[in-house]
Amino acid sequence: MNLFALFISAMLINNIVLTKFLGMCPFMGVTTKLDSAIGMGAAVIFVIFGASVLSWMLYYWVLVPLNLEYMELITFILLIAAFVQFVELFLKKNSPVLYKQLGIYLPLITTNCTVLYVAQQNITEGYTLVQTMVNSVATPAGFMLMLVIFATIRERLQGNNIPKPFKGNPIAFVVAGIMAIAFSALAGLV
Amino acid sequence: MDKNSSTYKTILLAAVCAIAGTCLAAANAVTKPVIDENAIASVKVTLEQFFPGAEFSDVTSKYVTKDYPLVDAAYEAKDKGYIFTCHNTGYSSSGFKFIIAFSNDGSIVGYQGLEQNETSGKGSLAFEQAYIDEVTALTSSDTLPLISGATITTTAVGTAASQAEAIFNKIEGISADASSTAASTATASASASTTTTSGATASSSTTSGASNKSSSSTTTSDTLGTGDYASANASCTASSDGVYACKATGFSGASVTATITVKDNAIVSIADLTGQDKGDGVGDAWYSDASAFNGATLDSSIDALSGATYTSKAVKGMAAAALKAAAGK
Amino acid sequence: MSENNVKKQSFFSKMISENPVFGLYLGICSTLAISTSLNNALGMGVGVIVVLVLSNVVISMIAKITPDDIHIPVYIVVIATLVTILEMFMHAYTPDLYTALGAFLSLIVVNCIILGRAEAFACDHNVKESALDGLQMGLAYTCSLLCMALIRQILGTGVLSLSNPFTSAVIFSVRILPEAYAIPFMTQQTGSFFTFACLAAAVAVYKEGIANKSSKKEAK
Repeated sequence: MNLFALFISAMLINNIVLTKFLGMCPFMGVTTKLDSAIGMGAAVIFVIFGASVLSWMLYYWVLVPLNLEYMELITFILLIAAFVQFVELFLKKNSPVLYKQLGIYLPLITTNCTVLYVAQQNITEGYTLVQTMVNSVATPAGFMLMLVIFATIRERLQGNNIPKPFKGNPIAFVVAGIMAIAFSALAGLV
Repeated sequence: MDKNSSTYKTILLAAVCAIAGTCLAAANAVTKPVIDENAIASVKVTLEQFFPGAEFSDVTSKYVTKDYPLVDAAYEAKDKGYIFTCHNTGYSSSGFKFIIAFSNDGSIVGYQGLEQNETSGKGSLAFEQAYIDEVTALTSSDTLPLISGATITTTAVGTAASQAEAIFNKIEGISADASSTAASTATASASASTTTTSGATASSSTTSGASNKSSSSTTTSDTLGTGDYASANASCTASSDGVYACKATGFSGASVTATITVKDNAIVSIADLTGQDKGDGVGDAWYSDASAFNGATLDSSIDALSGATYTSKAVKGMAAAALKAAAGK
Repeated sequence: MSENNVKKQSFFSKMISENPVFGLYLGICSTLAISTSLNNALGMGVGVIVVLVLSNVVISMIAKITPDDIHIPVYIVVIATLVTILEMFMHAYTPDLYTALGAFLSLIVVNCIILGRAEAFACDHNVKESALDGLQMGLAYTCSLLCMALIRQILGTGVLSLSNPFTSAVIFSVRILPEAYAIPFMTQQTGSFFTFACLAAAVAVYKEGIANKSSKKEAK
């Protein structure tokens, strides 16, 4: 499959937040400020890329030859948890500044649906290693794009006169719905 | 044991993983047969239409590679034929799915639309009885015809069908080698000649005379001069006096090359015989030993090797071409 | 809400105000994605109940012998095993439901509700209490899914239908809205977000109402 088309469709057209509904927890929690949104987005891109490539290798080089495909879920989730731990320790030791900026989000990312979903999607779609890498960068890039857009909108929303029941999270979902309509226009792009 | 010691932790983790693994293996053993059965059951009714009473198995993972993106699934009807489900997008953006069945003799025995949303009266004609009758009269080497007024849809059907045909021909190419040598004594037997003709995708021998057809399907009665090797597309260029660099097309389009030395209208030896499919097991017997050709003339007949009909044809084609080139000088 | 308010609420009232989905915003991803039809919602809900109850039971049994720093991986392995087994059985015996739920069946593993309850409740309580808690949370989750599914299916397709997941036989199919009045986008992403927003707002109003009522009572 054309790599560019894959990139665009993973990032914009089949955007993981607006079309697949994944990554909603950080979406609601982290988008109140633009800075935290950017930080979280960067951390997610790095974690998903690393974890997905590693899990692709684990699946095709270990599980398939041993006929243990049904162990996929367990091994993937453990790999992701281990990878995140490792990244956290590495950052703590080698780059305290970066750790301070990103470190708080890393434990959250372990149970983030996005990571497990992308790792599994690479397998179910039968991507090659290169396609996996493209998908694993494009999907979290789309996630980060959504986080940033959403954070800017929400910052503006805070000054507005919103009906009491909708204040806080409900209005955020309404905004997400409108964004979904806007992005569905990209469907015919590739 | 102290709860916080590393040994305890490792043992606990290992124990948990081991128990988890065993439970999973048990669940897998219970559910996998049911899942496999379901995979066939859902299409079994449709499959039964083409080969009633046959034994079906899902061979998708075996034959449908990423080179054939339009083919969704492949099923084998044991000893009878193969069925493929394909999809493509015609005029309507929602696309269509159809099923196409080939019997082992190469003819298309079934074609049916499974899901389609084409314009009624135009694209939908590609799934109606008239077109179905047209398609089921064809063989696996033919391209599907177009319907005027429904060209987009029928072209799309044809493209998907040609991928199914390619897979089928590849499968039959493998089994054709085995069955043609087994039927070598039954020269005039209809099943033998039809199996080889269905397996030879680019073979033009369907139009050549009956005697040539049956002689090329047997292994002993043709000579290098009279045998029909047109399908192997052999050609030789003289590189020095009596030495020819030859190439031909062997199994599944693999290119076969050799250096053939000819003296006094007889082959001295075939050297450097190799092919693109070397190592696949197909023509390897030839690649390792082509001494059967030493001393061959245009009147010699060389046995094809069992399991390597195409490669044998390619080598014989090159030998014949080299000898003819030498005689022509 | 003060401690007294929380204790005085009835079971149903609690299910609304402490609802894991609309009250605490846990397990949102699957709620948004799966609530397109009654079938899917029920299927997913039952799946989550099974996993939640079993995982709570197992974790309450091993909590005492698990040291603190490896408890997360251990819990994750337990939950992942349960989910994989559920997946396998669903694939074998309810294939339509399995295809409809798709990737979200595997994503039950990272459903915040399950790991959240395991950490917050199951590791400190005994087997019976943990099982009951799992059942309560699972039911609350299923009810939220059902609410969303009812709204989305009725407004989106006009038809309310249910079919047996094991045999794909239709149990009932009732047309409530004429086809011309159905709103297709309700079954798509946008409808999902809007329905969720409205339901979340409704729960917020309810919670507000409870807080006001009890503060009025206390003021008296």
